[in-house]
Amino acid sequence: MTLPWHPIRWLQRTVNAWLFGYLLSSLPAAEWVWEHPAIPHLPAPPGIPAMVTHAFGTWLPPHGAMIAVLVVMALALRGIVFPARWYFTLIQWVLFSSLVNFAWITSTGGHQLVVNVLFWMILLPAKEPDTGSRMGVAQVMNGAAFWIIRLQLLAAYAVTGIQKLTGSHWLVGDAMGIVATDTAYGPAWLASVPALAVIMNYAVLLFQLTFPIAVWWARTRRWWMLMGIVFHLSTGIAFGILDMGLAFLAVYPIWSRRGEWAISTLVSA
Amino acid sequence: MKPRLLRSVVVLLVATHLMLVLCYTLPREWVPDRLQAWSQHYVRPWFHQRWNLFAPDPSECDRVLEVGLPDGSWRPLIPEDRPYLLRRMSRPLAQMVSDGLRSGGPVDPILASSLRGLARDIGREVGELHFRLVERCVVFPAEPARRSLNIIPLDLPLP
Repeated sequence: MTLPWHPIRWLQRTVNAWLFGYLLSSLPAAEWVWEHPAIPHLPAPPGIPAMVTHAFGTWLPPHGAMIAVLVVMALALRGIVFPARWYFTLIQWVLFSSLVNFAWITSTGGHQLVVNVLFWMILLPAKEPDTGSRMGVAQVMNGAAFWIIRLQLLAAYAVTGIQKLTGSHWLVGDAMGIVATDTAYGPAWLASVPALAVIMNYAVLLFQLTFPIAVWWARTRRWWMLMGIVFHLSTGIAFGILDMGLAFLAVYPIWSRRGEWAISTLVSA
Repeated sequence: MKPRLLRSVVVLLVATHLMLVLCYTLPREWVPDRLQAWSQHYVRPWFHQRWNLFAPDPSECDRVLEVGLPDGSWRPLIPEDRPYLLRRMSRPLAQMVSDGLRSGGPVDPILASSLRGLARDIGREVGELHFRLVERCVVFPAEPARRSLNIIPLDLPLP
């Protein structure tokens, strides 16, 4: 059981790029979010795990958040250039999950996805696995982490699609119009073209429910990932949650294969 | 150890983790109580995640928190010229205030402190600030642009 190095390395690059970009984008609001938070941080839940995931307010001083932001950014830059060492990823996970809990009101599903993926990235190999090596505990951990990250992405799409099926507006086709006319999201003009709003409503449902199936075959994977890129960029920009959309896209490489995104391969598909 | 045994261990680890994550995130009524409890113990502290943005239904009301200025005018608690990350706090904060009011209680002290914290640039010399929640709710889902306006004055607990 030799893991493919190409998707692991690209995942390290893209997740670190997301971390760097997100934290960089937070700097204009640093005074309100990290330095002198306008929103009080929530008390840490009881238990030992809170020491790790809620470091600020347990064993790190709250005014250390800004330093943590800079440390995670520096490690993220390193992770883009060099393969990530497990101990650097561990530091990133502890600090970033604590930052997400510290600035809890700014967190989205994208943050939760990255925090989860970062945890399992600690267990991924830091160099290309040797095809001839014997299987041991390290390979078990590598393999479990690799597949959990892959399936975590699919679970996110599947669950959000299933959750929508338990409501009523997505089923009758009203949901996109309601979201589009919400002043926090938009674009409001979509509601003035009801047919388009209905088509987009069902397209979103179809995409989210079929992605976890389509991704298993190279021929469909490319097209669903292209649809995903369009979906996350357009909803991210229109709804003002670009970091959430980019977080999903940052995890896509774990499903990639070497050469799969070459233009010639795409055309032949 | 034999490769086959180790592969089985990988499959077992992955399947158990995925099952517990699904029990934690799928609609509550789909998951047996015992599995739900196990998933809470395992997922909540380490792998917390929620996948219900706009689900099961998008909110039928858009909500904005406003702060009253000394001249009697009102402005959004988080104006449009604020940085992106700060502006994004507006919606969930208003939603939480609204949820709290609907449950019949006063505004939660942490949320009240948040409202005051976000208005700190107005200055302390103006005295006690006033806040309100402005809701615009869909009347007919087929015509979502038509919305009813509802303004709710907020009575914040003292700091």
